[in-house]
Amino acid sequence: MNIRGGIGDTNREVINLLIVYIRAVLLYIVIIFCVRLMGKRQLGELQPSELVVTIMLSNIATLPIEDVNIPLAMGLIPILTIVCLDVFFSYLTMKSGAVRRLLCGSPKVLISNGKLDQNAMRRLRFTVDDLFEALRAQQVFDISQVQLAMVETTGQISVYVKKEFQPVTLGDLGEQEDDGDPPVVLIEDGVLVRGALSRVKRDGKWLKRTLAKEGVTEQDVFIMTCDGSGKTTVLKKEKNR
Amino acid sequence: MRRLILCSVIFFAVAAGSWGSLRVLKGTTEELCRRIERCAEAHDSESRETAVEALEEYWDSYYSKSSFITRSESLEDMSVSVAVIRHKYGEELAAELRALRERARIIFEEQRPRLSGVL
Repeated sequence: MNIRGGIGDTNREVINLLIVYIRAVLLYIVIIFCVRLMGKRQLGELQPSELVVTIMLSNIATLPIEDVNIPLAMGLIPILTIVCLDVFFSYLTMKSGAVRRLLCGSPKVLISNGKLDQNAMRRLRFTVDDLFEALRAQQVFDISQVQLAMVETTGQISVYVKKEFQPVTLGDLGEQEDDGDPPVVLIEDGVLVRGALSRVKRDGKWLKRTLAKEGVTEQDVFIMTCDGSGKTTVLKKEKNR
Repeated sequence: MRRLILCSVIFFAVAAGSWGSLRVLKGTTEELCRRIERCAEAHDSESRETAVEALEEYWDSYYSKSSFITRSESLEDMSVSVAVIRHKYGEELAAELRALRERARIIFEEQRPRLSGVL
């Protein structure tokens, strides 16, 4: 029979450190997997339910790391359960508007036709400071310029300024330009990005020819971009890297 | 859709695993209690020695299976009890065995999904 107990304090601390280390690594991998499974974006764009899930996951994940007496399963099971529930509910919200409104709410109009709805501000517990802070974040410093302002379910404010204050576009000037996607990164730190060539409708031979014109090989390139028209930008690696 | 299917598989696997672990804990607890009973019922030194040995042998298996779902502090208390049983006699032995059985029962009852436990 193994006699448990009778282990020196120092040995127990070392064992605990190792356990904490292994659990930290395992839980880190599990959390990364879970966040990928949920398909999360950055924190500022989370729906309320998603924010709750994110906070809960971070709290639950630390429990088995902080206390080695807690079985690892006590962390893994709630994490996996909550993540799965989040994905189920996100599919439900996608399929049902009623469920979406229940879980996420709906956007609320603050300013409509240039007129501020003070009742809406009271209901949302929005102060004037909150409103002006949100407008400034959208580069709007004069409330009279706002045609429509909405509070999204994530808490962000979307602003549509009046036409006379909108930036001039090429369309307004009657200029016609072909539409095109922005440049795509082809090479990153000497390595070809997978799928990048097909996005700009080019092939390996074209790449070799283009690099040869610049007098470099793929490994010599730090960044290479190309847009839809074939215009390339090549930054070579610095010699002392 | 793939994400939904994967999550469904994980969700039901976690549920099945949790239920399965409870079944395993039930089985190991019952076996442990049986061996404790045999120790308690042993009347002569030879049968007592055999019963205690059987309990000690089974203890490692119970410990390793329970430690996946139970706080190790509870199991450590029970480990100490199992370690000293061999040197106890008479009423002391009976008390130690009763305490051991009760702790095993509590560990199992804590894992059962009853309303009082959940709330």
